[in-house]
Amino acid sequence: MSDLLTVQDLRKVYQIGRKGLLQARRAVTAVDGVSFVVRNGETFGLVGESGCGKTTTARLVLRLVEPTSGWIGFDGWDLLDCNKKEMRQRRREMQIVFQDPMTALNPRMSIGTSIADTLRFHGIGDSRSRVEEARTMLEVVGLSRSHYSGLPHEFSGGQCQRVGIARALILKPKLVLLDEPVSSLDVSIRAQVLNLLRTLQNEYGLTYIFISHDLTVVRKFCSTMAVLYLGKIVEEGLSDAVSREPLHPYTQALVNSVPQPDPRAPKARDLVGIEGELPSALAVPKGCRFEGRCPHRMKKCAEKEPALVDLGGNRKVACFLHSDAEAPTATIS
Amino acid sequence: MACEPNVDYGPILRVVGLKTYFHLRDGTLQAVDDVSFEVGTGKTLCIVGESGSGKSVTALSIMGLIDPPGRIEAGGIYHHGEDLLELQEDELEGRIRGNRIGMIFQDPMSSLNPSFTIGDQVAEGLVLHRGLTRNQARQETVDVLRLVGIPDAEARYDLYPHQFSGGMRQRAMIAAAIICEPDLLIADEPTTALDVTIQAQILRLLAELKDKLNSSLLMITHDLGVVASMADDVLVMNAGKIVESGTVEQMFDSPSHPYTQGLLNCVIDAETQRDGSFEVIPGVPLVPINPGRGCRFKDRCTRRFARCNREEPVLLPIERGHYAACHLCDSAT
Repeated sequence: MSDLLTVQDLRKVYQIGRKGLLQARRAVTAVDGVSFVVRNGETFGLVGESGCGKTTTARLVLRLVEPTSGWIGFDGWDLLDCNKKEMRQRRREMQIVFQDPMTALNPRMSIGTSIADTLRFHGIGDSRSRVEEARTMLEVVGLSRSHYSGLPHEFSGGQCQRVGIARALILKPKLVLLDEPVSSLDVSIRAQVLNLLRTLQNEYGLTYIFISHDLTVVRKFCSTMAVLYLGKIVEEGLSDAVSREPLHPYTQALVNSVPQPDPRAPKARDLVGIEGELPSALAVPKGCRFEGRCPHRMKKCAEKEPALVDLGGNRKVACFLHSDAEAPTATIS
Repeated sequence: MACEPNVDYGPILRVVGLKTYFHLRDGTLQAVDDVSFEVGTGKTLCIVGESGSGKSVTALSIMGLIDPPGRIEAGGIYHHGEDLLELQEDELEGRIRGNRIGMIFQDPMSSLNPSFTIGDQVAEGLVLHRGLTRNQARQETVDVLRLVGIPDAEARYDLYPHQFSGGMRQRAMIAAAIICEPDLLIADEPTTALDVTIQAQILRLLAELKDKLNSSLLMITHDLGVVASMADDVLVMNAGKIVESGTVEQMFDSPSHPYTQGLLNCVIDAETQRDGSFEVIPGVPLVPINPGRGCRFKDRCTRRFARCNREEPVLLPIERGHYAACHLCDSAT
């Protein structure tokens, strides 16, 4: 498979207000040197808890937010080098589906218009052909042509998410970023939407980046996955292998924290989770970012930061338990 | 431990024939329709269902927190044999709510008042129910904050909710709910808004506190993993009705209602092939506004037959302690 998207050393630093007049401005590094490759036709999972930078990464890839530094290659283009006009062209090929379908749709606009407007924005077709195409798209995502003039509040969450998918796919993109597309849906509806996404992927040859905090869904839906912690990838590999045999202590904690739907599995009081919470992005630990919560921490973890090392077999891990390599020290410009 | 786990002290809460309806412009929403169940002393009962199934309205009915257009039409809610529906609002507020029955809500950010300190809000139970002044309540409150795992509790007493993380806010909510040592805790999706590693911590805390305080727990959730790791007994609700009830083992080992079976199938089986599709329940959950005749699950049921359209199934015993409301389970058919 050829590479569709290559992200190299992507970094986003937000300058935030100073605490006092005489203090220096403070910086939050939301995404801190993230690199990954997404191959044509695959589903790449980005996993992590809130605040780990997964949504920021998605927005950086689309250039909805400008990266501080790094390089993004998409389908032979250097994305950060594209001017406005070229970028608009690229965006036809990379679309996003948002988490909360209700708030992603304009409540005063019919769902059909919401879908057809994407074509209008990109100057495709005339008004009649756009309506026709939007109606066809509604059918493709499992709604009916007659839903065109309905308003978002008349639809359920699952149906609105189908509209969100229709709106993203009407431009025939190559890459679709799915930002927690099923997190707000009920279990039975979640499966319907995942099946739809899978069918559409096969039919249109789509490549997905699937952002989620739900490891069980990622394991089954994605071919490859990367686990993010405080803006850095800590582990990457084939999603089944990573969830079956997680190597980084954080991935292990994520896997072990999920209560199993089996009354004979460990009960809540025996779940092997981890202590503590995500440290503030304002005070990122000096050594390994996970050091403060890690059950296996060693002396060097507090001083040096482990590099993301290729262990072979598509697996990369950033942990001193598996390799001694240190990360190059980053300088914030 | 003072309490022998095998001794049956009888139910601490008995709900009989509860009907909570909402009188809307479009008709009557039968949010909870003829629901009966018991919470055994020292037990954890989980109510499972999708959005709109009536699980939260059941909890709010028990707490006497139903506002117009909602109304409790019929039924009895017996706490230690005393019918809470017979009590006046001031009696309920003064004696029961927050004192004997504690409640934990889903979203700790919106259930805490942003303009009062955490300490003052947690201490409120002591001020209201035990007549202490805030100063007298302070030490006890700090102890409870410590008990729920809030580090540096003395200093954090004077902080405001926005200065707490999501997990810490939920711990504060739990502290407020248990400060009067209630014998029944009602938790409505207490971990849905939290990350999985924090969810594991909060679930463990709830299980430990339940033992420590010798209380019972009524927990509402849509997550079958949470159910399996917390519950002794389970109720499955659909469109305002209980469709199945039993022990956690009965529910997971021999689910009898097609809805319960469907929900369990939807929980992704990690062992299946990545490219296999996800199990679904077809259709969307029924909104029980003037629901009409017959079974409320019939439109989503793959095994419906003529009788399901005519007649509403009632909860019938399948084995000791295990009930299902489905004509398929009725041996008379």
